[in-house]
Amino acid sequence: MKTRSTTEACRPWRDRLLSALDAEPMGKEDAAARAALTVHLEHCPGCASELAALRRTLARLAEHQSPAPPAEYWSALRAKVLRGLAIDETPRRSPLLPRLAWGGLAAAALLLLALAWWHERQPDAAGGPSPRLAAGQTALEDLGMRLAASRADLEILLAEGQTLVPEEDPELLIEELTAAELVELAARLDGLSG
Amino acid sequence: MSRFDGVDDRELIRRFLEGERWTFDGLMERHEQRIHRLALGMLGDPDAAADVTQETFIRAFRALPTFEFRSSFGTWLHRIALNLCLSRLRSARRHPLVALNDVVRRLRSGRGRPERELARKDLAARIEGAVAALPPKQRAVFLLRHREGLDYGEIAAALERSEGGVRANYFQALQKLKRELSHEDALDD
Repeated sequence: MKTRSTTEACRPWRDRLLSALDAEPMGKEDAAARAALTVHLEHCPGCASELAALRRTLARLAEHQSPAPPAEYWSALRAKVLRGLAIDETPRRSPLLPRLAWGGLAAAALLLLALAWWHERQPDAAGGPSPRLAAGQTALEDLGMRLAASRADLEILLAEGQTLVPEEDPELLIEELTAAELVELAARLDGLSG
Repeated sequence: MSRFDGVDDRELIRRFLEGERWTFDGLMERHEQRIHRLALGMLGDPDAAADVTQETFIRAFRALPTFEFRSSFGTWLHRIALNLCLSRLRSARRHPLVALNDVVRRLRSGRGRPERELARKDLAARIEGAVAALPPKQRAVFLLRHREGLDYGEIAAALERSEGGVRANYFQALQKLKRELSHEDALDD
């Protein structure tokens, strides 16, 4: 039975067991390291047993192969990837499209506005202005007349205002009253409040 | 027999970059099974493996113009796939609901049953269970080394780690698998 001290002493060798399991070379020191490990294994049943157990494990692992999906699975998966790429590529493939679409819409809107403006300015069949333009002109004339009337009213009011007597200050009036007038005023006020 | 036989990855990539986008189909055809096998081994779920395989190729397609041939195309694909797998595993740890789904799936497939019952299962299920129990990075190294036959340098490139670290991971994985499988053997007796 291995003692703890033996296990500790074997630790560096245990870490090198991989080189005995692997065919792949570890590097320049590989040959010397392998030779030293071989010597150790000949004299250490514990490490030899560990190596044998690892080999058995690898053999058991090799027995098991994950079942591969059928061929249709791969073609379906590829189609799925291509669909994913198509979705992913859509905005990248034509990055100008949205801008072109918005530009087209803006151009169409401008064109419509220009047509409407041009249409409004066209005379009707009889050679006169279009009905909407004629209506607009009438409204404008009416507004002008109403403005003129308002201005006249304002001028009259201002002239009347200049002829009005300025309002007298009540305090000045009281000062000008005589004592008898003040007594009479007080009696009248007393009569009003009573 | 494939129409891409006899044309190596480098040539397919060169033609892809020159505008022959259809050559990507050849790259997929050549590598899809490995990537899928790796994803299945890492995640243990066929649906998730299919998703990761799909996403791996979509990302590769997008990034192929920046591929610099510092590693093989296959190694590069493995790196993309592993990153996606590790990201999913991290996400599953962060979101217990995902982990719960996984547990339910395992219980249904028998993996989560009591040890006596587990010991009676066939070798394939036991191996899959033991591999699934490895920590993600050890699992990745084991799958790439044992199942895909990559050398340590390629695995190191795929995982962006040192070759020595990869060797150590592989050895640790083997020791754990040995313990796990011999433990089940003892239960069988």
